[in-house]
Amino acid sequence: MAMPKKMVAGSAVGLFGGIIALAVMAATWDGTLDCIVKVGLDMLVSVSFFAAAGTFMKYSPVQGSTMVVLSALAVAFTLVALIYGAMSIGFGLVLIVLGIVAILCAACPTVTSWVDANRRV
Amino acid sequence: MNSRKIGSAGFGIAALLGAFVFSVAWIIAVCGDASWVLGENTISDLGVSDVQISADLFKYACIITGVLFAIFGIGKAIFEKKANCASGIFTIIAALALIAVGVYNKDFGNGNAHLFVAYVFFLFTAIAAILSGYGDYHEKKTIPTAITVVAFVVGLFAYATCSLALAEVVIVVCILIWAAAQGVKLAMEKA
Repeated sequence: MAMPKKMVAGSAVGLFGGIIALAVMAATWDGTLDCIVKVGLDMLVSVSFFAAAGTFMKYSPVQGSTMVVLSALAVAFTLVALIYGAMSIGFGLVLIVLGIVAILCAACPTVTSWVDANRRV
Repeated sequence: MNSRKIGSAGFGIAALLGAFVFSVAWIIAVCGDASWVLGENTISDLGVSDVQISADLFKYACIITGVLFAIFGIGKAIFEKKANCASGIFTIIAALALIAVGVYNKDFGNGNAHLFVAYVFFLFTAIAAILSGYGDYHEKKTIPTAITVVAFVVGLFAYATCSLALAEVVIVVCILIWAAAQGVKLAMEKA
């Protein structure tokens, strides 16, 4: 069975989100230690997006249902960063939309069943 | 078979209605009381507002939403299984605490009664959310799992990082979204 196209879409969305969050993190750094919490939160968002992207690979390290949880965590950390003021509303909204697309890709039954059938334990 | 379907839909709609009633009442109460500031005042301050309509709205919104959430919890306990059933029982206790939050406002006694029931409400709702997330994960109900994870993590981080007044607002919004999502799930539950 061929890899579902939603896997590629989910992976691309996750990588794109991770890169955007990484750029936001770099922009947040102002050379002082005061901004370290905000930079850390942006890094957390970036890492969670890359982690979500990593689950959409051929040999996914997690179960199909866990992919949704990781994508949801990316959205949750983005919301936390927004509430804390660690990123601008514009970037935050873009990342939330990307995260929701990743959740929808991961929630697709064909994706979860394909991952469960092909992943190496 | 059909009666079970109709029943679960009714219980689910109770959760949706509860979230809607509280949201609308909260917005109207805040519009009525200009002294209430987001991030500076807790939601409970509306219960002792100088503007009588805002105080009454808060009180009755808590009681009505509590009753509706209790109905939703009963439905969750009856129609769902294992962890989700336990989540329903915790939701009932949280809903009863929410009713008590409306009845015992901050001015009641020395304020400890209000504080106690408020903490019981948040604690039992958090346990209910964890159990429902666990149950949905194992039943492979992906979208409710995702919403529960987002609501719980955002609420937890708000509690850890924000001031009490702001954290309370964020957590209540998360609870309303979680309850509405669970209500939709319960309404669409197949018997």
